[in-house]
Amino acid sequence: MTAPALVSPKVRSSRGWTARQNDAVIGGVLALVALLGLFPFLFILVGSFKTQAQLTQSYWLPAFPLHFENYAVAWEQIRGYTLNSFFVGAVTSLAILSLGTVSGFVFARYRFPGRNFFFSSIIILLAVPGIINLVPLFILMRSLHLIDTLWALIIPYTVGNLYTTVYLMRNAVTGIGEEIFEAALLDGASGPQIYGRIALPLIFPTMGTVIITTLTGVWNEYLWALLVINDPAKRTIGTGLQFFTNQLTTDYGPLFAGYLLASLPLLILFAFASKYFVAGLQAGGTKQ
Amino acid sequence: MNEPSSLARSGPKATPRPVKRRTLERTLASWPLYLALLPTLALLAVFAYWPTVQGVLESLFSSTVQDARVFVGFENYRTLFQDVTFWKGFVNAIWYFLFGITVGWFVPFVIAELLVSLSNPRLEYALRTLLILPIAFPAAVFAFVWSFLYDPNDGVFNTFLNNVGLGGLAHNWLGDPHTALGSLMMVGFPLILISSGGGLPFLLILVGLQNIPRDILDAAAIDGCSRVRRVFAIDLPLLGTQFGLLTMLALIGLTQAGSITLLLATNGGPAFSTTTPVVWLVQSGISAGNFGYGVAMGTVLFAISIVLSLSYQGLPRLLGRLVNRRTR
Repeated sequence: MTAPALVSPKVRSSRGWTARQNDAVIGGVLALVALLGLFPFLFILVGSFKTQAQLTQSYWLPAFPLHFENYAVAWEQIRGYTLNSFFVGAVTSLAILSLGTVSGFVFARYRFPGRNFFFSSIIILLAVPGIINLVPLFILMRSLHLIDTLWALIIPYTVGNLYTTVYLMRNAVTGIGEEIFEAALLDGASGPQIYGRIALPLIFPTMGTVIITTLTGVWNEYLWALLVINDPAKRTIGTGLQFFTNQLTTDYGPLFAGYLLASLPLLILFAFASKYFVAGLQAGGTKQ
Repeated sequence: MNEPSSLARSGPKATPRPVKRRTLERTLASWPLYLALLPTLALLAVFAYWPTVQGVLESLFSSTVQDARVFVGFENYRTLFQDVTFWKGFVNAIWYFLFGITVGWFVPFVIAELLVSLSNPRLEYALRTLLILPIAFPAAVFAFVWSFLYDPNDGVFNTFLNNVGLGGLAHNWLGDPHTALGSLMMVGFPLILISSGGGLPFLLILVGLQNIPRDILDAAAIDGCSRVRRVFAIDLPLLGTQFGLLTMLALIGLTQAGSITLLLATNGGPAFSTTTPVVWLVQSGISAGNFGYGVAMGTVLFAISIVLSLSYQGLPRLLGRLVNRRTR
């Protein structure tokens, strides 16, 4: 190694390589890793256009003609699951956002008897693993006659995400800063006005994160849906795909097409909001 | 609506004003606030707190499909401690945990280090996006795609092995008790290992590395610190928070693992080789209709997870941080 010259590591690495050479080597390695990670999905993408015979003949490479009808067959099957997941996701997001922003706002901006008690009693749920409530919640849903309805999914998903959201929203409102609220107060704005006109627009990014976390959560959830939904018409993506997989065990083309169609909403979300997507995952990491 | 109570003058850190007097009056005057919180609190009370209490009571009963509920005291707990399958599942969960904190951290760490070593920001952005793209696939799709890769007849692994003349290594990956657990752990290799938190370890480590202040790195470079030395002298020590959080999550995961098993390996896999406590809870507690036993398992798992968290000293710290932290 040469004498430590005063050059930034950005320009010259310790081995004397230029930054460009450095990038080429590291970039190559990382591209290989990325390809390895994406390979299974590329494989099913290629396979989703094949018939069973084409898959046998040309396992690794694309085969022509492309069979787009696989997608029609698959969509016929998973349309219901997708729509159910959309409905559950939309209602859950709406419920979480309306409840979460109001509570977060109240906890952040007001001082009242019992504030700390109520806030702690919500926050402590962050540390309680969901497993303890699995069976009791099932019994509760059964006695409320909600089994085999989408409400059996919506209510627990809402509750499960609510305390994280209250916490995130309180932090977001606290982070806005004092002056703007005091100014509004001096101008004679009421509590609901301050909430609706000032707080809500300013915590919009946090709301984006919460929506994405909720939607991915709903799209990914499997265990609970398996327990409370038996009715084929009420299946969501997770349980629906399992049924779909067991049905089409030997017909890979439509099966792969179905997997891709079921992934499409999350992929689109990722394409347009990958920043929120990643932030949401990281926020979700503190939840579990 | 009249102004309920004074807007907090400053953040939560401000000293509370000395108003001990007329608490009742203030409570009454704050009614709109309680009204605003009521839906949230009611929902959490009914669907989060009440089930927990109800559940612990339920664990003292035996209720199978045929029999009516019978009070059995601590019988469910006694059965549980002798339940071989439950503890077998727990051992499997420990394997998940060990895999998660070794391979599940090492690979993301190396890749994150390589990523922050790139000097071209566009290249970095493109590769980062491609690397985390698999997290955009739903967990179920992820699992089923991998289960296809493992398929003994048409799967990618066996086809590949046959094509390159290593057909002798071809395997019924998920069907053989010796390879089933390992195969489940590897789902998502290299970066998005589903069994160890999906993309989370990578994202947390990457953010940690990106947040290391530029001047520290510049100072180290001036002092002649090599790239490899930087990993041990600067990066790892400064990633303490991230690894702390990941440890916490791995410990919590120890009692919660199992979704992937339920998706891919029927009934906890061949000879219970891939079962976890959660899988067994679902099978013997819910599917078999013995709710009391299921709740007893949930309660024990909860207790184990609390003990683990406390012994890690994580819970008080985590709670303290959550309550006190202000954004930025």
